[in-house]
Amino acid sequence: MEASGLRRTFGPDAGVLDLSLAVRAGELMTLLGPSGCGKTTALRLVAGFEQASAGELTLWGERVAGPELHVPPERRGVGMVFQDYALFPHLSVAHNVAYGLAGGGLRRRPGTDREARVAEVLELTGLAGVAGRGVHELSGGGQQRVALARAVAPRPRLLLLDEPFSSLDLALRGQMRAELRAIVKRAGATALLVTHDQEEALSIADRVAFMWQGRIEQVGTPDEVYSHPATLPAARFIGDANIYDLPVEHGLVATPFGEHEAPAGRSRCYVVLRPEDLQVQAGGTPGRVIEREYYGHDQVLHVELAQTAESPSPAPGVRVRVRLGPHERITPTGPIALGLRRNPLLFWE
Amino acid sequence: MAVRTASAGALTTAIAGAGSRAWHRGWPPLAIVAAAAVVAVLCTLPPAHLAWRAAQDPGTAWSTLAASPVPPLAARTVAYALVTTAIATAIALPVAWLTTRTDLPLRRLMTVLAALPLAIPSYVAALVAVSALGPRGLLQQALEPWGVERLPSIYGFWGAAAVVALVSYPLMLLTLRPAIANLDPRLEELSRGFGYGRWTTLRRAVLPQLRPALLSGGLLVALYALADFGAVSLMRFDSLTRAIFVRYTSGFDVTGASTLALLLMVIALAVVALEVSTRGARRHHAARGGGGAPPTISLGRWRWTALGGVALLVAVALVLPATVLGYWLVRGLAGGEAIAGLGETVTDTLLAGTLAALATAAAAFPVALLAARYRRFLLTRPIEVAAYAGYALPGLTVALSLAVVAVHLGFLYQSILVLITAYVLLFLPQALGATRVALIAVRPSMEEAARSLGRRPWRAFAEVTLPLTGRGVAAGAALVFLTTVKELPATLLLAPTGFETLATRVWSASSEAFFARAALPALLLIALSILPIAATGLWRRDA
Repeated sequence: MEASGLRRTFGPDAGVLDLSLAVRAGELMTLLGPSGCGKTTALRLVAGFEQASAGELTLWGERVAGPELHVPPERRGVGMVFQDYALFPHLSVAHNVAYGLAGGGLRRRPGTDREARVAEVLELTGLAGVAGRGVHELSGGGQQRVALARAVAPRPRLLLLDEPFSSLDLALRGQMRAELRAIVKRAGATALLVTHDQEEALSIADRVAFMWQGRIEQVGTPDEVYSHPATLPAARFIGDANIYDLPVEHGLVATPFGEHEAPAGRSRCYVVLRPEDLQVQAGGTPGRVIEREYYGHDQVLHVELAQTAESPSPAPGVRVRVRLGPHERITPTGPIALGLRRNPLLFWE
Repeated sequence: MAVRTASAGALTTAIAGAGSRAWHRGWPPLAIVAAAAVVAVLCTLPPAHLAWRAAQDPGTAWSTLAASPVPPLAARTVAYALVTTAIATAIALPVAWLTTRTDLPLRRLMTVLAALPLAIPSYVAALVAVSALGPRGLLQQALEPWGVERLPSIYGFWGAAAVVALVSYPLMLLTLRPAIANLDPRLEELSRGFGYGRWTTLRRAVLPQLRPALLSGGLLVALYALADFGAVSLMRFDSLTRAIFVRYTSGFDVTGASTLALLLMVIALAVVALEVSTRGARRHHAARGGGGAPPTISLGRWRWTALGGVALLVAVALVLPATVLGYWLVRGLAGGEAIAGLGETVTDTLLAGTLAALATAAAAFPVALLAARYRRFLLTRPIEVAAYAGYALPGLTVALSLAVVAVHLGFLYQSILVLITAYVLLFLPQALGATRVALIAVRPSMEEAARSLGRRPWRAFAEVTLPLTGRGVAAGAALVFLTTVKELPATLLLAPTGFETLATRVWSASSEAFFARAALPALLLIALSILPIAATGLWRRDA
């Protein structure tokens, strides 16, 4: 799939969606962004439920949207998993899955037996045992599998998933994430999944596209977008961050943890420190632990940088969150000295 | 912490998403708009035609309105509606309170029984009253051996008001019960806590909370009373409806009848406007701050007295009519009049009901579709309002205006088509409600899913939306069927010569005092009317 400058305007005061994005064959891409950034509209544009006002969209080389062109959803060969699943309550599980095959859809291959495909997909999604049941008899996870099975059964050119985990409870989400990825991969589908949950976006994706205010800000592998966010919103939204707006002097920005080279010609810049990029370091910047949240797999300290007897603090009163391994012994409200594991990220406007 | 924020975020997105995607953003299909617009025009055409006629000849219209009998007639009609509402409230308020808040014995049974008189068509109740208490009625016959030759007259203003109140008080009862059940008990506790007595508490803390429900229920009863034709006629009370009917059928005074119908419509619309404005206020009151369910009040030694009161009401409003009709049925069967010619009547009734149900369901669908899915579309609101005209317009007004239009067009006169149109107009709101609810349950994403699976729009609609709304549409159609079967004034006015429904049979038999002939169709009508009351879930839903 390739979208270039696909636009949709929502009146004078509302935002503009401007989508330029390429999904590679066979990959699972997540479209990540905060609520209201236009992710769902982007998905609906690709599916053909909304008409673009400008730009172009091609699926496997075929133009499906462009100037004077709007191929309706039924002729795009795009499968969709809806946020509310939108299962057909009057049909059984098997009939839901067979629905896209019944009418001789876009990619129906001669000689492919419909029953066989339904059985295959039900097997793939672990639904073989409940084929005859009504969809209301299934749990949330089961319904999600049916929605997925129904969408992949006709072998869509592109599979779109709109917040597929939002109706599931937390305990089920992690499990379904891995399962969904496995199913999509085994079905050999190319997929674009929309989510506002950064953990979900990072853990499930081959690549992540970050969307902010109607635009794609960055596309990359999960570790790329996390370690090297391209913009400040990306850094702020993807993962936890300590963010400081600091002055630049003589090409250098002075952070509480040392000086760093700043871009030329700027008077201020944003310094972003991931909590886990800080560590306890003898002789480092002194501070005092004011709060400790212990999670088991790790712990987060709220530290206020402060003067101590041994060394003066470069930035008294500044607060910083530090993420440490679970085994570091920390005295709450006690003194601490901090240093950096890796250089901070710098952004400017 | 991170986990918790994520889930809260998911929740708000889910809610926002569900809200925004329940409605289509775009324009509705042209065919739907066209169909809905036709229905809306049809609904507003007859009253508009009446108004237009009056405007064509304002002199005659004005002189009709100013002529000596009309102002007192209008005043009398309004007074009758007010008195009826007062009686209905006096009956419904204590019964509603007893059946929701107290330990009344047989509470569940009494709740159902007290609501059932709604199933008795007003003209059947009037028939019962006349045949039992009227001159040469059952009571007088029974008292004859003691030399009683005349009973006090039951005809006129008070008789009509009493009969109509006895069949319409359930409207008030059904409005009041949920309101009483949802009263905030903390206000009562607070009032008692301040040392106020029971009665002061009732007056100052409870009744003000019930005001919106009282108004709403009262306006329903008033509307019922204003529109009623059968009972007032049988009770020989000259209300507007009776005057319209007499002028049109006996006097052939089309202009006079039209003008009066217009006057009745204006009064009814004023009532509806009042109702709508209080409904707005009611939303304000509906905010309930918890405090739990109100406690059940123990009646103590008054329990059985209270039960006696409710039982007396049930006896008068329900058992008495059934007994009287049963008596006439037995007498009719003995005399061979009970079933004569009933076969044709049943056939005609089924035909009228079925056609009305089908036509109304078909007319309701496009309007319901707009209302359910295209709320932001410019024409949705006006079309919806027009379609609800039948709720406000008295049946006689609609029937008369259609008759005038049909006469005007010539070829439609005396056609069953006009009769069915009247039914559609009058009962469209009933079908609309059920259809709309069913359509809302089919989320647009389901149709979108079908489209992404290769279906063209109309096939997605036919394969997904239609099967899923079938039950709701059928329920609406069934309700229309049952209401059609009971309908009297429009049927009387518009039915082709020789076409007789159960309702008109009861009417003609009772206006000629052939009570035995009316008994079986009347009982059939009551039995049929109980069905939708049962379907509303009154039987299941109770504390």
